[in-house]
Amino acid sequence: MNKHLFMIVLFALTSLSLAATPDKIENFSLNDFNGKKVSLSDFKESKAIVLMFIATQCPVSNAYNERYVKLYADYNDKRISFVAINSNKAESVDEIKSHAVEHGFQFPILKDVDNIIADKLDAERTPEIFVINPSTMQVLYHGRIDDSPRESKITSRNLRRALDEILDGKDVSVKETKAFGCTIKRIN
Amino acid sequence: MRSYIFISLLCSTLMAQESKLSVLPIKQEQLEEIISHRNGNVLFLNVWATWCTPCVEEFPDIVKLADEYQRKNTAVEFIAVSADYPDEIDSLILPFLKKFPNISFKVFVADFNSMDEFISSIDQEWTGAVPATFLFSSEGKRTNLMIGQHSYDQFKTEIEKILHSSK
Repeated sequence: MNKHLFMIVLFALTSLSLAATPDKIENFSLNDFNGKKVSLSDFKESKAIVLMFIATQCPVSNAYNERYVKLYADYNDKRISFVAINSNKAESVDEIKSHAVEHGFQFPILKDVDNIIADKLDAERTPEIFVINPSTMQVLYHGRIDDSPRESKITSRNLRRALDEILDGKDVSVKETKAFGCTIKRIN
Repeated sequence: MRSYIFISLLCSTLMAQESKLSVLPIKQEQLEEIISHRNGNVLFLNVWATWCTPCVEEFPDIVKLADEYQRKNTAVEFIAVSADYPDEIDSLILPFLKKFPNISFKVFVADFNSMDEFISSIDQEWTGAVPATFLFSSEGKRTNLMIGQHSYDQFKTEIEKILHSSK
Protein backbone atom coordinates (compact mmCIF):
# COMPACT_ATOMS: atom_id res chain seq x y z
CA MET A 1 0.00 0.00 0.00
CA ASN A 2 2.75 2.38 0.99
CA LYS A 3 4.61 1.44 -2.16
CA HIS A 4 1.55 2.23 -4.29
CA LEU A 5 1.06 5.55 -2.55
CA PHE A 6 4.74 6.36 -3.12
CA MET A 7 4.41 5.59 -6.84
CA ILE A 8 1.33 7.81 -7.14
CA VAL A 9 3.09 10.69 -5.39
CA LEU A 10 6.21 10.16 -7.51
CA PHE A 11 4.13 10.19 -10.70
CA ALA A 12 2.36 13.39 -9.60
CA LEU A 13 5.66 15.08 -8.81
CA THR A 14 7.17 13.96 -12.11
CA SER A 15 4.14 15.29 -13.97
CA LEU A 16 4.54 18.63 -12.21
CA SER A 17 8.17 18.88 -13.27
CA LEU A 18 7.32 17.96 -16.86
CA ALA A 19 4.76 20.74 -17.00
CA ALA A 20 7.61 23.28 -17.14
CA THR A 21 8.53 22.20 -20.68
CA PRO A 22 6.36 23.82 -23.36
CA ASP A 23 4.49 21.31 -25.56
CA LYS A 24 4.94 23.50 -28.61
CA ILE A 25 6.98 26.54 -29.44
CA GLU A 26 6.30 29.41 -31.81
CA ASN A 27 8.51 30.21 -34.73
CA PHE A 28 11.13 32.85 -33.94
CA SER A 29 13.95 34.68 -35.64
CA LEU A 30 17.31 35.77 -34.28
CA ASN A 31 20.54 36.98 -35.83
CA ASP A 32 23.57 34.74 -35.97
CA PHE A 33 27.04 36.04 -35.08
CA ASN A 34 27.45 37.35 -38.64
CA GLY A 35 24.26 39.39 -38.39
CA LYS A 36 22.28 37.03 -40.64
CA LYS A 37 18.65 36.51 -39.64
CA VAL A 38 17.82 32.87 -38.95
CA SER A 39 14.29 31.57 -38.34
CA LEU A 40 13.17 28.17 -37.14
CA SER A 41 10.92 28.03 -40.20
CA ASP A 42 14.10 27.97 -42.35
CA PHE A 43 14.46 24.33 -41.26
CA LYS A 44 10.95 23.10 -42.08
CA GLU A 45 12.35 20.40 -44.42
CA SER A 46 14.36 18.85 -41.59
CA LYS A 47 13.30 15.77 -39.71
CA ALA A 48 14.03 17.54 -36.43
CA ILE A 49 15.60 20.75 -35.16
CA VAL A 50 18.03 20.48 -32.24
CA LEU A 51 18.03 23.76 -30.32
CA MET A 52 21.07 23.95 -28.06
CA PHE A 53 21.44 26.64 -25.41
CA ILE A 54 25.21 26.97 -25.11
CA ALA A 55 27.75 29.37 -23.64
CA THR A 56 31.30 30.52 -24.22
CA GLN A 57 32.33 30.79 -20.55
CA CYS A 58 30.43 27.95 -18.87
CA PRO A 59 32.82 25.07 -18.12
CA VAL A 60 30.01 22.51 -18.40
CA SER A 61 29.00 23.77 -21.84
CA ASN A 62 32.65 23.89 -22.86
CA ALA A 63 33.08 20.28 -21.75
CA TYR A 64 30.63 19.48 -24.55
CA ASN A 65 32.34 21.43 -27.34
CA GLU A 66 33.72 18.32 -29.03
CA ARG A 67 30.41 16.54 -28.53
CA TYR A 68 28.52 19.39 -30.25
CA VAL A 69 30.84 19.02 -33.23
CA LYS A 70 30.48 15.22 -33.30
CA LEU A 71 26.69 15.36 -33.01
CA TYR A 72 26.51 17.78 -35.93
CA ALA A 73 28.85 15.60 -37.99
CA ASP A 74 26.86 12.45 -37.25
CA TYR A 75 23.33 13.77 -37.76
CA ASN A 76 23.40 16.77 -40.10
CA ASP A 77 23.55 14.51 -43.17
CA LYS A 78 20.48 12.70 -41.85
CA ARG A 79 18.43 15.90 -42.12
CA ILE A 80 18.65 16.79 -38.44
CA SER A 81 19.31 20.53 -38.12
CA PHE A 82 21.34 21.99 -35.29
CA VAL A 83 20.83 25.56 -34.08
CA ALA A 84 22.69 26.92 -31.06
CA ILE A 85 21.48 29.86 -29.00
CA ASN A 86 23.53 32.03 -26.67
CA SER A 87 21.33 33.91 -24.18
CA ASN A 88 23.99 34.96 -21.68
CA LYS A 89 23.98 38.72 -21.27
CA ALA A 90 27.72 38.92 -20.69
CA GLU A 91 28.77 36.98 -23.80
CA SER A 92 29.11 39.26 -26.82
CA VAL A 93 28.57 38.46 -30.48
CA ASP A 94 32.31 38.82 -31.11
CA GLU A 95 33.10 36.42 -28.27
CA ILE A 96 30.54 33.92 -29.60
CA LYS A 97 32.08 34.13 -33.07
CA SER A 98 35.67 33.60 -31.94
CA HIS A 99 34.57 30.74 -29.66
CA ALA A 100 32.77 29.09 -32.59
CA VAL A 101 35.77 29.46 -34.89
CA GLU A 102 38.13 28.15 -32.21
CA HIS A 103 36.06 25.01 -31.68
CA GLY A 104 35.05 24.42 -35.30
CA PHE A 105 31.28 24.79 -34.86
CA GLN A 106 29.59 24.43 -38.25
CA PHE A 107 26.04 25.05 -37.03
CA PRO A 108 24.48 28.52 -36.71
CA ILE A 109 24.81 30.22 -33.32
CA LEU A 110 22.15 32.82 -32.64
CA LYS A 111 22.46 35.67 -30.16
CA ASP A 112 19.38 35.87 -27.96
CA VAL A 113 19.58 39.52 -26.95
CA ASP A 114 17.66 40.17 -23.69
CA ASN A 115 17.14 36.38 -23.30
CA ILE A 116 13.71 36.60 -24.96
CA ILE A 117 13.82 33.08 -26.39
CA ALA A 118 15.28 31.59 -23.20
CA ASP A 119 12.32 33.11 -21.35
CA LYS A 120 9.80 31.78 -23.88
CA LEU A 121 11.18 28.26 -23.57
CA ASP A 122 11.93 28.48 -19.84
CA ALA A 123 15.52 27.51 -20.62
CA GLU A 124 17.53 27.71 -17.40
CA ARG A 125 21.02 26.44 -18.03
CA THR A 126 23.78 25.62 -20.48
CA PRO A 127 23.92 23.18 -22.07
CA GLU A 128 20.17 22.60 -22.43
CA ILE A 129 18.58 20.93 -25.42
CA PHE A 130 15.15 21.18 -27.08
CA VAL A 131 14.39 18.89 -30.03
CA ILE A 132 11.59 20.30 -32.17
CA ASN A 133 9.37 18.75 -34.83
CA PRO A 134 9.62 21.38 -37.63
CA SER A 135 6.15 20.55 -39.01
CA THR A 136 4.18 20.77 -35.79
CA MET A 137 6.68 22.76 -33.69
CA GLN A 138 6.11 20.28 -30.89
CA VAL A 139 8.90 19.72 -28.38
CA LEU A 140 9.92 16.08 -28.83
CA TYR A 141 12.74 16.04 -26.29
CA HIS A 142 14.01 18.41 -23.62
CA GLY A 143 17.02 18.06 -21.38
CA ARG A 144 20.61 16.98 -21.59
CA ILE A 145 22.97 15.64 -24.22
CA ASP A 146 24.10 12.80 -21.99
CA ASP A 147 24.48 12.11 -18.29
CA SER A 148 28.02 13.29 -17.61
CA PRO A 149 30.23 16.22 -18.58
CA ARG A 150 33.08 13.70 -18.25
CA GLU A 151 32.97 11.50 -21.33
CA SER A 152 34.49 8.57 -19.45
CA LYS A 153 31.49 8.51 -17.06
CA ILE A 154 28.66 8.60 -19.60
CA THR A 155 26.06 5.85 -19.20
CA SER A 156 23.12 7.40 -21.12
CA ARG A 157 23.45 9.25 -24.41
CA ASN A 158 19.94 10.67 -24.19
CA LEU A 159 20.01 13.12 -27.11
CA ARG A 160 21.46 10.56 -29.54
CA ARG A 161 18.86 8.04 -28.45
CA ALA A 162 16.04 10.55 -29.01
CA LEU A 163 17.38 11.47 -32.47
CA ASP A 164 17.79 7.81 -33.46
CA GLU A 165 14.20 7.13 -32.43
CA ILE A 166 12.98 10.11 -34.48
CA LEU A 167 14.95 8.88 -37.52
CA ASP A 168 13.41 5.42 -37.04
CA GLY A 169 9.94 6.98 -37.04
CA LYS A 170 9.34 6.09 -33.40
CA ASP A 171 8.10 8.18 -30.50
CA VAL A 172 10.85 9.50 -28.27
CA SER A 173 10.84 7.14 -25.30
CA VAL A 174 12.44 9.48 -22.73
CA LYS A 175 11.17 12.99 -23.40
CA GLU A 176 12.59 14.82 -20.40
CA THR A 177 15.95 14.57 -18.63
CA LYS A 178 17.85 16.66 -16.09
CA ALA A 179 21.48 17.66 -15.75
CA PHE A 180 23.85 20.02 -14.02
CA GLY A 181 24.56 23.16 -15.94
CA CYS A 182 25.42 26.84 -15.58
CA THR A 183 22.44 29.11 -15.05
CA ILE A 184 21.81 31.39 -18.02
CA LYS A 185 22.82 34.89 -16.99
CA ARG A 186 19.78 36.97 -17.83
CA ILE A 187 19.14 40.70 -17.90
CA ASN A 188 17.52 41.82 -14.65
CA MET B 1 62.89 34.90 20.88
CA ARG B 2 59.54 36.71 21.15
CA SER B 3 59.21 36.89 17.39
CA TYR B 4 59.96 33.17 17.17
CA ILE B 5 57.16 32.40 19.64
CA PHE B 6 54.80 34.75 17.79
CA ILE B 7 55.54 33.11 14.42
CA SER B 8 55.14 29.64 15.93
CA LEU B 9 51.78 30.59 17.42
CA LEU B 10 50.66 32.15 14.16
CA CYS B 11 51.67 29.04 12.19
CA SER B 12 49.93 26.70 14.59
CA THR B 13 46.77 28.86 14.51
CA LEU B 14 46.74 28.85 10.72
CA MET B 15 47.35 25.11 10.62
CA ALA B 16 44.54 24.55 13.09
CA GLN B 17 42.16 26.63 10.97
CA GLU B 18 43.18 24.81 7.83
CA SER B 19 42.76 21.42 9.45
CA LYS B 20 39.12 22.27 10.28
CA LEU B 21 38.33 22.32 6.59
CA SER B 22 37.04 19.05 5.31
CA VAL B 23 34.81 17.97 2.49
CA LEU B 24 33.09 14.62 2.70
CA PRO B 25 31.40 12.72 -0.11
CA ILE B 26 27.68 12.40 0.58
CA LYS B 27 25.40 9.67 -0.71
CA GLN B 28 21.70 9.84 -1.46
CA GLU B 29 20.48 8.28 1.78
CA GLN B 30 22.70 10.56 3.86
CA LEU B 31 21.40 13.68 2.16
CA GLU B 32 17.80 12.52 2.44
CA GLU B 33 18.39 11.86 6.13
CA ILE B 34 19.66 15.42 6.63
CA ILE B 35 16.67 16.87 4.78
CA SER B 36 14.05 14.82 6.58
CA HIS B 37 15.43 14.82 10.13
CA ARG B 38 15.34 18.49 10.96
CA ASN B 39 15.27 18.38 14.78
CA GLY B 40 13.43 21.68 14.80
CA ASN B 41 15.95 23.46 12.56
CA VAL B 42 15.33 25.16 9.23
CA LEU B 43 17.71 23.85 6.55
CA PHE B 44 19.57 26.12 4.13
CA LEU B 45 20.99 23.83 1.42
CA ASN B 46 23.20 25.35 -1.26
CA VAL B 47 24.27 23.34 -4.31
CA TRP B 48 27.34 24.84 -5.92
CA ALA B 49 30.43 23.92 -7.95
CA THR B 50 33.92 25.30 -8.35
CA TRP B 51 33.32 25.61 -12.10
CA CYS B 52 30.24 27.77 -11.55
CA THR B 53 31.08 31.48 -11.46
CA PRO B 54 27.83 32.70 -9.83
CA CYS B 55 28.19 29.95 -7.19
CA VAL B 56 31.68 31.12 -6.34
CA GLU B 57 30.48 34.75 -6.28
CA GLU B 58 27.61 34.13 -3.84
CA PHE B 59 29.58 31.79 -1.56
CA PRO B 60 31.09 34.55 0.65
CA ASP B 61 27.58 35.82 1.45
CA ILE B 62 26.52 32.32 2.49
CA VAL B 63 29.58 31.98 4.74
CA LYS B 64 28.75 35.36 6.33
CA LEU B 65 25.07 34.46 6.82
CA ALA B 66 25.86 31.08 8.34
CA ASP B 67 28.30 32.69 10.73
CA GLU B 68 25.74 35.29 11.81
CA TYR B 69 22.99 32.74 12.42
CA GLN B 70 25.37 30.51 14.33
CA ARG B 71 26.42 33.41 16.58
CA LYS B 72 22.76 34.21 17.25
CA ASN B 73 22.16 30.53 17.97
CA THR B 74 19.17 30.60 15.61
CA ALA B 75 17.54 27.36 14.53
CA VAL B 76 18.97 27.36 11.01
CA GLU B 77 21.34 24.70 9.74
CA PHE B 78 23.49 25.50 6.71
CA ILE B 79 25.04 22.91 4.43
CA ALA B 80 26.62 23.13 0.99
CA VAL B 81 26.83 20.28 -1.49
CA SER B 82 29.28 20.56 -4.34
CA ALA B 83 28.36 19.23 -7.77
CA ASP B 84 32.05 18.72 -8.55
CA TYR B 85 33.32 15.14 -8.60
CA PRO B 86 34.49 13.43 -5.37
CA ASP B 87 37.95 12.99 -6.89
CA GLU B 88 38.22 16.78 -7.14
CA ILE B 89 38.14 17.43 -3.37
CA ASP B 90 41.89 18.02 -3.07
CA SER B 91 42.48 19.55 -6.47
CA LEU B 92 39.54 21.98 -6.70
CA ILE B 93 37.17 22.09 -3.73
CA LEU B 94 39.57 22.46 -0.80
CA PRO B 95 41.76 25.05 -2.54
CA PHE B 96 38.62 27.18 -3.02
CA LEU B 97 37.39 26.66 0.54
CA LYS B 98 40.74 27.71 1.99
CA LYS B 99 39.65 31.27 1.23
CA PHE B 100 37.14 30.80 4.07
CA PRO B 101 39.13 29.33 6.98
CA ASN B 102 36.37 30.05 9.50
CA ILE B 103 33.58 28.42 7.55
CA SER B 104 30.98 27.30 10.10
CA PHE B 105 28.95 24.78 8.10
CA LYS B 106 29.48 21.37 6.58
CA VAL B 107 30.51 21.11 2.95
CA PHE B 108 29.92 17.90 1.06
CA VAL B 109 30.50 16.71 -2.46
CA ALA B 110 27.77 14.72 -4.18
CA ASP B 111 28.68 11.04 -4.42
CA PHE B 112 25.56 9.69 -6.08
CA ASN B 113 25.13 6.95 -8.64
CA SER B 114 23.90 9.47 -11.22
CA MET B 115 23.05 13.11 -11.75
CA ASP B 116 19.37 12.13 -11.94
CA GLU B 117 19.52 10.54 -8.52
CA PHE B 118 21.14 13.60 -6.99
CA ILE B 119 18.87 16.17 -8.64
CA SER B 120 15.65 14.27 -8.02
CA SER B 121 16.46 13.36 -4.44
CA ILE B 122 16.66 17.04 -3.52
CA ASP B 123 13.73 18.42 -5.49
CA GLN B 124 11.67 17.11 -8.41
CA GLU B 125 11.13 20.65 -9.69
CA TRP B 126 14.85 21.38 -9.94
CA THR B 127 16.32 20.83 -13.40
CA GLY B 128 19.96 20.87 -12.30
CA ALA B 129 20.91 24.51 -12.94
CA VAL B 130 23.42 25.78 -10.40
CA PRO B 131 23.74 27.59 -8.12
CA ALA B 132 20.57 26.33 -6.52
CA THR B 133 19.56 27.04 -2.95
CA PHE B 134 16.80 25.18 -1.17
CA LEU B 135 15.17 26.11 2.11
CA PHE B 136 13.42 23.41 4.10
CA SER B 137 11.17 24.14 7.06
CA SER B 138 11.82 22.63 10.47
CA GLU B 139 9.38 19.89 9.42
CA GLY B 140 11.50 19.03 6.37
CA LYS B 141 9.13 20.62 3.85
CA ARG B 142 10.83 22.41 0.98
CA THR B 143 9.64 26.01 1.03
CA ASN B 144 12.04 27.76 -1.37
CA LEU B 145 13.83 26.84 -4.58
CA MET B 146 16.18 29.67 -5.54
CA ILE B 147 17.86 29.14 -8.90
CA GLY B 148 20.82 31.30 -9.86
CA GLN B 149 22.92 33.76 -7.92
CA HIS B 150 21.31 35.48 -4.94
CA SER B 151 22.48 38.19 -2.57
CA TYR B 152 23.00 38.20 1.18
CA ASP B 153 19.80 40.24 1.60
CA GLN B 154 17.72 37.94 -0.62
CA PHE B 155 18.82 34.86 1.31
CA LYS B 156 18.28 36.53 4.67
CA THR B 157 14.79 37.74 3.74
CA GLU B 158 13.69 34.21 2.82
CA ILE B 159 15.24 32.66 5.93
CA GLU B 160 13.52 35.21 8.16
CA LYS B 161 10.16 34.53 6.47
CA ILE B 162 10.42 30.84 7.37
CA LEU B 163 11.58 31.55 10.90
CA HIS B 164 8.69 33.98 11.47
CA SER B 165 6.10 31.68 9.91
CA SER B 166 7.09 28.87 12.24
CA LYS B 167 6.70 31.02 15.37
